[in-house]
Amino acid sequence: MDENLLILKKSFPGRASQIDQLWNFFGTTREPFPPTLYISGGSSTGKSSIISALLKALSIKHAMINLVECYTSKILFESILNQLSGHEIDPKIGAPFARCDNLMDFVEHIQKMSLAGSVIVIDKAEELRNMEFNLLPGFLTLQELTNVQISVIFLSEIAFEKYYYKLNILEPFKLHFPQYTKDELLEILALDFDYLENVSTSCDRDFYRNYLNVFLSVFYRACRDLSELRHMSRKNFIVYCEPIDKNQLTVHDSMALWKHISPIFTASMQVLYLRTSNDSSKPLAQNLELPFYTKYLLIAAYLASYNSAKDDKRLFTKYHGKKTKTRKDVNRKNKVSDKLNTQMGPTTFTLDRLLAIFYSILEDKVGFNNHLLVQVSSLVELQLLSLASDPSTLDDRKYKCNVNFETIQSVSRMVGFNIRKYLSDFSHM
Amino acid sequence: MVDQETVSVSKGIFVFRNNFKRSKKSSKKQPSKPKKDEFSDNLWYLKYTDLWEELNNKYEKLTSEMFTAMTSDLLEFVSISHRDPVAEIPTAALLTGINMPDHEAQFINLKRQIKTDITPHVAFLHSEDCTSLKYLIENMINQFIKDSTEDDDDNVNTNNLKKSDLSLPLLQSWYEHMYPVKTEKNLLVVIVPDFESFNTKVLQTFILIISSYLPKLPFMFVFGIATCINTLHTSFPYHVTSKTNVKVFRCEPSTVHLNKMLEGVFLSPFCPFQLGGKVFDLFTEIFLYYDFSVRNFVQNIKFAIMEHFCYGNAMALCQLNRHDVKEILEVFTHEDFENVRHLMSFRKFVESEPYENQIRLLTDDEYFKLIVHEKIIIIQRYIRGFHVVLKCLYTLVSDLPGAPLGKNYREIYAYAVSKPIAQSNEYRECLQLLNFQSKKYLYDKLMSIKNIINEFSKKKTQFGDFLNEICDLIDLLNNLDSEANQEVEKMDSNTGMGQVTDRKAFKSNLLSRSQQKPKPLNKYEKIRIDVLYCLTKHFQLFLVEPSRMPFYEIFFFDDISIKSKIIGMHRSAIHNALNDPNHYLQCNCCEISNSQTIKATMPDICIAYKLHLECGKMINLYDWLQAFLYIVDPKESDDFDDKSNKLVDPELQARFTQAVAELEYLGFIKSSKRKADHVARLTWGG
Amino acid sequence: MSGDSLLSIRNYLKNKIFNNQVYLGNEKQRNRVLELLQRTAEQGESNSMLLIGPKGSGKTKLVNSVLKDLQANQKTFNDDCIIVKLHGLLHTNDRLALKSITFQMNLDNAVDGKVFGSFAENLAFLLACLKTGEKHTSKSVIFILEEFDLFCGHHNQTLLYNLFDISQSAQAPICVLGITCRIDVIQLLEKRVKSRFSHRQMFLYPGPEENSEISDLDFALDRLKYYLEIPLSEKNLAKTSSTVKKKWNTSIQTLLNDKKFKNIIQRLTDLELNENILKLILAKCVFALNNKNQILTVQQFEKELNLLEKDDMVKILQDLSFLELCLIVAMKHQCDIYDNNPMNFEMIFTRYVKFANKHSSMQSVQRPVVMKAFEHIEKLELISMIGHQGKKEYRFFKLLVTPHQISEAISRSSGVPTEIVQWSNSSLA
Repeated sequence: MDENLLILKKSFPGRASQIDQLWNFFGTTREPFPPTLYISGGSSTGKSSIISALLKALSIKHAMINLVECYTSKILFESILNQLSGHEIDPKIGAPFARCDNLMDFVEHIQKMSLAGSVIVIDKAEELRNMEFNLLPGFLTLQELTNVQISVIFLSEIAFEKYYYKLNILEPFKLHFPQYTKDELLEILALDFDYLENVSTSCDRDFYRNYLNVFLSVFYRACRDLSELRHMSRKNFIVYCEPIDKNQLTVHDSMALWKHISPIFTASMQVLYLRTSNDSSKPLAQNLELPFYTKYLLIAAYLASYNSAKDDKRLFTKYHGKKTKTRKDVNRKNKVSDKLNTQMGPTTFTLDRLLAIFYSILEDKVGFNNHLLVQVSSLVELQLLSLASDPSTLDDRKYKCNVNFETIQSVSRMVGFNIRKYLSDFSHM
Repeated sequence: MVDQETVSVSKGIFVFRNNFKRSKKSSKKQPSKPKKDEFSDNLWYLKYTDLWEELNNKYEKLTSEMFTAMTSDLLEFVSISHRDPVAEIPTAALLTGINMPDHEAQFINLKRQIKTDITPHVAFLHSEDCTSLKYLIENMINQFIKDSTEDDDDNVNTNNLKKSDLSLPLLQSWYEHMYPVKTEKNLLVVIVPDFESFNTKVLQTFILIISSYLPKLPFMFVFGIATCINTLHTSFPYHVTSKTNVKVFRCEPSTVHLNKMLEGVFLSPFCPFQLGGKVFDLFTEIFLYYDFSVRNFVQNIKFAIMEHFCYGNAMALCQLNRHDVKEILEVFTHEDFENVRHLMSFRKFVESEPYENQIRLLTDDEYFKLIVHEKIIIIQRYIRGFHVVLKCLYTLVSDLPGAPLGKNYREIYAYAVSKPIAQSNEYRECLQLLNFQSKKYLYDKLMSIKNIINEFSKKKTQFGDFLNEICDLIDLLNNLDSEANQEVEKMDSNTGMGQVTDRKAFKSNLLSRSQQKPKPLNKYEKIRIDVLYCLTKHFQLFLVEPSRMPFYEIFFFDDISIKSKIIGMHRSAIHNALNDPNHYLQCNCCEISNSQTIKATMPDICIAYKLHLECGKMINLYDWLQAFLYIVDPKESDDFDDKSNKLVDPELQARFTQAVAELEYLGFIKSSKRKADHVARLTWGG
Repeated sequence: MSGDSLLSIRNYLKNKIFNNQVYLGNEKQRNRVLELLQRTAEQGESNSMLLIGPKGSGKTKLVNSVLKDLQANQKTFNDDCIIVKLHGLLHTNDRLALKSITFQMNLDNAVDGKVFGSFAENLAFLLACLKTGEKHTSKSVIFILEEFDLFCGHHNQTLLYNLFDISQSAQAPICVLGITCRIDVIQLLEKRVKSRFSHRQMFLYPGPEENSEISDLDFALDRLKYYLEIPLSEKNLAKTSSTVKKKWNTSIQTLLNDKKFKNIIQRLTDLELNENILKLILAKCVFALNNKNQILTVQQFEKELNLLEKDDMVKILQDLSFLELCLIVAMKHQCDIYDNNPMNFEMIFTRYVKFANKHSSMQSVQRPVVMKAFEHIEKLELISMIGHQGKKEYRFFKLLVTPHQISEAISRSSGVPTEIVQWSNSSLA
């Protein structure tokens, strides 16, 4: 059994079978590698880290490219060649190993460089589909094109069948990195302990494992992404330990610790994935501060976006006369809850309609002055409204309201305006 | 009209990018710049410039201090962001508030501080430079490398770097050459001042790229977010946010900024120019209802000051230093004194004087000078007293439950300059509330009041007795505990407050107001009554409204007529311009008595406009033309009813056509297909 | 058997599988191509031909082996004939193609500095250069165009037009040999190009030749035999003793005769008879060879086949967190109710909230968090957005996984909360 293999398995818990498979493919460097290998698997399932560790351990000459970086294929080709040739960019000149912006030249360079038995690793491979048409098939058949025994490894989060947008792509060797199971996650997070030691005094590994157990029991349902979980567990562990550091509790009364942490867990459940260490736990919409009339303009915009123009009369004029019930109204009444305007997204409206609604919902009469106009454009600038018509034309512009219902609700609450009363979705309820 | 435009444009803007341009634009408003030579020797203008210089400097200083205070913890965050290895990009989300008047200044200031305190490598990314990922990255790397070459003697000149080579591998190698060994102090900070206007797609990819380089390059971001933090969440999907670790920072809301600015600069006993209640309310309304922009508030005040001084040399007397006043009066000419005599308050004053005095005041400049001087000095003392005591009142009542007189100094000020505050009902409410307060509370208040007085007036002449009484009361409160509580005789309650005559009445008032049946008072309660009595007395003494005293206009500006200039109404403005050109042209050729009359001397477009006002929805071009001709030269059109000669002077027709074209361009009419040689009128009823 | 002898065998097999150059297909077809090229080479006869057949049907191999023969057998061949190989993936436009042609005809020095009005002139010049050899007869050129269909995409098909034109009007003796896997390739040709093409086409099919009584299974087994057996006379394995080889071959023989094994291969051939798939499985088994398992076993093949048959989408689904799974189920129900009409986030969100409220055990999470989960699903391309305008909440999308896949994923993965399972099974949302 190879030394490196053991080390790899040790440093990547829960990935033994994948590592074994990879080892079969690349373990013996004298023998040919599979020409292409497609590794799929969710984010932070260890795809790229394991591959690079493996290639390093076996000291295989390789290039690792992350395609998000390659907004031109030039960058892709040149950085591959740089890495394979071990070329150091001189910051004073900044020239690459070779200037190369098309596959043909790339292949020529590869052929010149005697790269048999080396590997190209392409991360975020799905991006290949959005680049020049010949790159994906080109890299999938690189050996044929070059007649060099160079193999390509693709890393991606999506299934390979998503690449079949064009026919006749050669099936590569495939390997899937599944998400970690709860137990595996526990193992991996447990490795964090060394990192966290300095965070809190007086806690040992078992204590930390217990914490992780508690932690996962809450978070595992909503999230299986390792990096996210690690982020959360670290953040919360500090809080978890506080009572101990303050000598209010000991390591052993876990029940009390649980009482202490569970509200905090629920709180941080609400900011899961959001990555904002935002101590103020109040709903986010509320810290949108706007001048008084601007608030009303925004509300008016929302109403204009989510009411059909034909309802305006009914909604905004005091005496719109006796309205005879048509079948449509009846239908509207028993409209299924998930076909509401508020769910179909904002519709466009003209400036005139906006102002009309604005004036009708505003109690105190204010002159139509330039401040108001300017604020409309400012709202657009702030992306609270968006311009839905050609920006070059100045007259009859159309707008859309970008804020969602809870935001507008909190805004109208601030000015004491009952928005539901004026939304055709709710007004009939 | 143009002027109107600039005024209005400069208002109500919390689109923060162009604040600088705008401030320049608005500064054009002041008459000085274009025709300097005309005013520059006028006394009032000189005084105006001096005053504005002083105030503006104060303001600038104050704001910069504020920002520095605000950014300190942000800087702290930046400096420690990479202390221990990070998996995500440390990101500071700076909630700037949608309309802080000068984000620009703030961010430049921030950049400077980071550069000096933390790291030489700061890149500034504006949305308009970063329309595509390629531009963004090249732009950023260019900034990093260029800066380093500027302040490092290791002279890499970026010229021989091809733009296409500015890729992250290059940056990495540059960085590694620069710092062979990793140290703390070399973060790469990227500042994005206008997050909202950024193309999110670009930004997302950028973040992904940077995160892939994070192990090698210690990047960190500062996002300036105007609206609120969930803009960040909505614009970034899961796989992007997971690459960042955001900490949120808030600028203090602009209302706070405003209060600081007002109390620090304008509403202070050291500012000779005082805003009257009406105007002040107008400005605050604009601030609270339209734009939260402090900068615009200041611009408005500036405008008011200009308007104020434009009145003439009389305003040159707007000084707080009595010696300056003397000197100015020395150089005053007869016209200047006349200018002073034209003040409204002077008339009131004269009428109040005995007859012979009236004559002397009106004729004898020397005598008048003396009077003015002494009156001015009274006002100066008044202003000082007013502000100091108002501050006392403010500290006393601002944190009462429900704050009857308002929570902010500006509110109390606005009240006090317009009516006698100490006789108001709100004040009485305050008194009642105070009457329930504990000894501790009262004691603290008195102490702070004492401090205020001390700090404001070195020479206590003016507040002498006020201060003394306060001190006595404080002592009383102090050694209250020692004395035992003894019963006190009942008070018979009689109502009717208004001016307090003696403390007996006052006390009873208080009792009757606080709806409790008279019951024996203990020692403290008696003292409390004394305290309130004393305070009220002085409030009533100092806090009289300015309009009471002669020549107050010299210091107090309360001309609400500037509203039309402050709040632009472009529609009415255009209507005025076309309907009554004289209003803007100031030419005497086309003055008109009533708005209907049309003069041939008016510009063609005005004539056409006024004519079209008389028409209905559809306008017959031919009739219009005839009417036009009838105005511009009557004799030609004498014989225009006989249809024999229809030929119109081509020049006149050309003028008419142009006028119509201009009106169409302005959007008053539009050519209609429905009816031949008719145009549709778009503004029905003007 | 000793370790290193195994290694050398493994190495040999890998090479055979990956860089096999021998053409195993139909001899008649091969001979036709051979004759064609010979006539061009010897009689200087111009020609054009298309080789059409799916990936892995040995088109390229055929051509290469033919060329190899020619070069080996006719000593004159290399002198009076030049081979120009173009590849649709590399030479993506005529400029590149021409560059490469010039290079392969090694006429760089002849061309450089010259400026040509048109592509035709340039090509004509190149061919003219050949005439002025020391020989009086001009050299004949064999153009081999791989991925021929891609050349049809070039601007005006200029390259193809000129090549076919020359080959037809016999200005210079050239043979144009197109290789493609698109049956409809002829339709891609512009009229003027098509008219100049000699419509000589040859179709290659994988698997046994039509109207031959060999079954697919036998064919596959035959191929396996070819790849696995070691000719005793194999010089690459000179070191390995013939006994070892014999031993190996017998083990292979037994494997091939095994009833169970045949069934497996049958399953495979029923799935798809494609040499690549065959090789894929084969290679993975060979890769798995090591000192522990020294011979290829039936179980090995079975395992690999099972892996191959696994549905990648199900794997992806299994990696989802329970929150994301909930959303998927909600989408499924939405599809059922509004027969696969496009839906948007708002609808799914309301559906999810309804569900979460019904079951207290699901800790409900805030909207932004759900949105993040939703975005993750989008990232994995389990759904596809329709149109890209507007805010994400309201953008419509389609579900890309089948109900069957969902239920399979849920049943496969362990620890899914029962309420989710029930929800997904329940017919009514």
